[in-house]
Amino acid sequence: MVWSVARKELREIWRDGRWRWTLLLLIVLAAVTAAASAARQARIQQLAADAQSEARAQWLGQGEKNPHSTAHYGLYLFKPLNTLAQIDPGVNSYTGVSVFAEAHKKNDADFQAMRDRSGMARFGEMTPAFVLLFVTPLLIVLLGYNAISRERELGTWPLIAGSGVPWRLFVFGKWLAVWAVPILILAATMTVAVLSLAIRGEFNADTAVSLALMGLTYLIYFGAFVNLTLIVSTLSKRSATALTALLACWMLGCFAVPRLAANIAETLYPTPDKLSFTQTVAKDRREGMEGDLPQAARGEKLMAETLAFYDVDGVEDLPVNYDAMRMQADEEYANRVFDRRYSELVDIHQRQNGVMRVFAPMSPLIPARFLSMGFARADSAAHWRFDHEAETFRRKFVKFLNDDMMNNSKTGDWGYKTGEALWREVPEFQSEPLPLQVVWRNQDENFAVLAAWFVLSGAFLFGPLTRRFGQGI
Amino acid sequence: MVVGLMRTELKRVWRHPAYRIGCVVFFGLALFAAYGQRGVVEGDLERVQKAAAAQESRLKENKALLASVESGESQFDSLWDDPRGYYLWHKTIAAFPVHPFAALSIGQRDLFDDIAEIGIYARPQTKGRELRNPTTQLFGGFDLAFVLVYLLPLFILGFCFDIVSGERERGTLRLLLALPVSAGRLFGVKLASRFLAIVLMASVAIIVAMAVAGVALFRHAADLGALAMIVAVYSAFWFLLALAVNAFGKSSAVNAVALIVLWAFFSILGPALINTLAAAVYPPPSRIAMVNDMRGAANEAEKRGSELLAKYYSDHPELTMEGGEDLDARERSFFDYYQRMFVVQKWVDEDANTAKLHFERQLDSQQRLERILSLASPVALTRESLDELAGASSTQFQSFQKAVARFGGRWHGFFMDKAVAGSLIGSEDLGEFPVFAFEIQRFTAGQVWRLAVLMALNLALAALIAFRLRRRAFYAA
Repeated sequence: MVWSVARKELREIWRDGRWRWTLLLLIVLAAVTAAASAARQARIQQLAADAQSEARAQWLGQGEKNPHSTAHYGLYLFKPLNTLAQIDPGVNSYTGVSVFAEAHKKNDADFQAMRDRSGMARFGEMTPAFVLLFVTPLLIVLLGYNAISRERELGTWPLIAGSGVPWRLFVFGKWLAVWAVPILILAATMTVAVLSLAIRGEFNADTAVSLALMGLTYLIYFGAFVNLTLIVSTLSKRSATALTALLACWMLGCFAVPRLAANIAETLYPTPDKLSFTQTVAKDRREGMEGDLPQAARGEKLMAETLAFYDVDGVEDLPVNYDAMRMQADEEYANRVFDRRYSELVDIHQRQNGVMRVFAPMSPLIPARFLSMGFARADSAAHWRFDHEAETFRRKFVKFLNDDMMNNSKTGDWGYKTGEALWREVPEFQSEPLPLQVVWRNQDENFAVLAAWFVLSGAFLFGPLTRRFGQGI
Repeated sequence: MVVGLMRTELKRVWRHPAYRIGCVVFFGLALFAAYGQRGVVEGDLERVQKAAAAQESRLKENKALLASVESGESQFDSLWDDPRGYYLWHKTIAAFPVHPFAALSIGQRDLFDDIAEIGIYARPQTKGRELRNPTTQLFGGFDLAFVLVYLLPLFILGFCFDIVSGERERGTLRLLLALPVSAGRLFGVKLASRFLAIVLMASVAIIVAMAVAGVALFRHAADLGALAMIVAVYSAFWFLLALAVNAFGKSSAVNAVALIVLWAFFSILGPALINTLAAAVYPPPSRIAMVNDMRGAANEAEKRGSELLAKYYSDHPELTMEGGEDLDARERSFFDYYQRMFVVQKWVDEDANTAKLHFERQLDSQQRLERILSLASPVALTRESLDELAGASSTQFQSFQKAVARFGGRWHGFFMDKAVAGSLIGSEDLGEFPVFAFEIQRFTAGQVWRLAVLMALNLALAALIAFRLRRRAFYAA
């Protein structure tokens, strides 16, 4: 019975030339977008790989230098793109792609792609996620707004009841038909994605599971929109009213509410500006954090402790280079400052994301977008992961150079130089994508919210609403 | 007759509950957006003022210190701490001016830092807002420009999607056509009445919203006039589009779907397609590749530092330090360091210039293409116009970047000239430091072009409507 209703609905859609062509166009658009996105992704990955190997060659070829000069010469660390960002590039355009690792300073990732684009770029680009998250719900609305209200307008409602068809099954048949159409678009996107991953040899268990979870996210998201569409169609006396209400829901849910949520999140938990953040970090280092000594006193304490440890009267008698030791001690204190201030910053971002999630009951797009970006490893968590890896690398690399200077030269010997053999000992930077378990832990709330959208709207559609209208026939 | 029709239509609109509800919602959203942005703009303004005040007080301290050294009151062992050396003076800031109209649109303000720090040890770079949450940047901001560009057209379409079809479906079209006015004039009057009702309401909402945002209305009357003009021409596009779709004689339901699809195309799909196309035709150049190229040049120059310095002096014998033999060891090492540093930097700049120019050319071509293609989307055109009026467009921030780079060159040049001449900072130099000046261009040729394109689109739609209304099929129903 359910299948008969669904088949009839699908046949009607197919027979209507406008829908047939729209659907075909959208499937082609989804496939072409997925292919173009995969090609763009491959190009960006290649650029990053080339830049990384060139940077390594420059690092090795810098010539003989004092290790501290080398620590200032620094290293560019490039963010590798996760392969699934070809489906959802998430925040990638808004985050930097390279961190300059050097002594004394923790630099933020620089070169956000969005800063090199015109204002047009803020409208978004055609990516598979764009088609699935923004365009497909509009198609659902246009396909389903009159699915139930039309029966009322055409007067076929009592006839259906008279034929003995349970109303719930009838609605479910319609539901399946409206839900089936976006699945075709999703299938086209996923097929191209899998093919491109397989061609590049990047299709493995992790990408397969992540891809499956992304697919599940979109299916639930479409399901929530189908529920919403059929609820409004059932409640509306006229199809035109249903359409107007649904378009308002789409506009609000996909565009207005997420922006509103982002604004309110920024207002409730303001992000510190760069200048005051840098000044706070500098002050913490200079004056010491709560309970800590100021920089000068820390230096004096270190000197006294070092002289006592080696049982000598002056730094010139030390068997190690005190300058390097002092610099490393300063690095370690700065690292504590960075840890504290950056964890506060990440905390602010997480609170902002939490505020945005509060708006999820008004917009299924919010949890769906968080999930999609998360599984693609293109969300802010993935960015902070890269930032953390780059910072860990920086600390190790600066310590390695300070240790070399400390152990192989004397205090005040700034003429000490070393060369390529030492530079080679600095390993190449590697960044690993967030493990799936961590992604899942980060995303479980979003998944719960999206699932709640789907289940509650479905329960309302097939529960009280169906009972009421089923009896009312 | 026309006046009577207009009066009747205005009364109908006013009495329509949806119009009143729509007005309340529109006012509410506009005020909310403006109020939210007021806080952001005030924060930006305060930050810029704080940075300028900090810079001013640093300068004052340095001047006092210099005076005390010159009068012999103070002495320093090292030229690095001495106010006659360069270190204490080498940093300055350049600020992007925050215009009172900034509350109109966030534009690109959430991407670009409005304060650039300039020094002599590295070339100035205007930074982004890397500390911002990228998710909120991705979601975008809720500002008055969003309300005007996205929501106002929906309000207009909601009122006009059945401007002809509604009359036909209610059976009143025949009666209307029986009046002694042409169909063109009849629907023109209907459209003009609704245009007046909505655009007047929107203008009042804009004025109140900008007052809420803290804009001094009388002082910025010209800006408000420009804003009202942009909104009026943009609104006219949607009114005409609604009538054009209606002129095809389809049912209200079909018109509604067609208009919403057109709205989605112009507002969402079209701009996204344009961006994708522009990025495919002219892929944005890789900044990391350029940075690597520049680094390669720096490496090379660093290795050849002494050789380059010798070459520089042989090319510019007039700059050889006069009285160099009188310098003490402290000053000699000071000038050696800076001369070498500046010459190496100059060489790096010259060497890296090709890579930089290539990058900038590619970037310009890519952005030019995006701008040309954006002419196809009235939504993108209007958004850009409002961003520019708010002083927050990408063009304005990129001009700021260029101005900072130019100023960085002058700033650098000032210290380089001192170093090659073997001269320290003295009180006679205090009035000679280069000063950064930047003014945002808000009324540009681009604004005029965009408005002209919108008007041309409106004329094209008007011509299409006139053509359709002449066809017999329109009257068949």
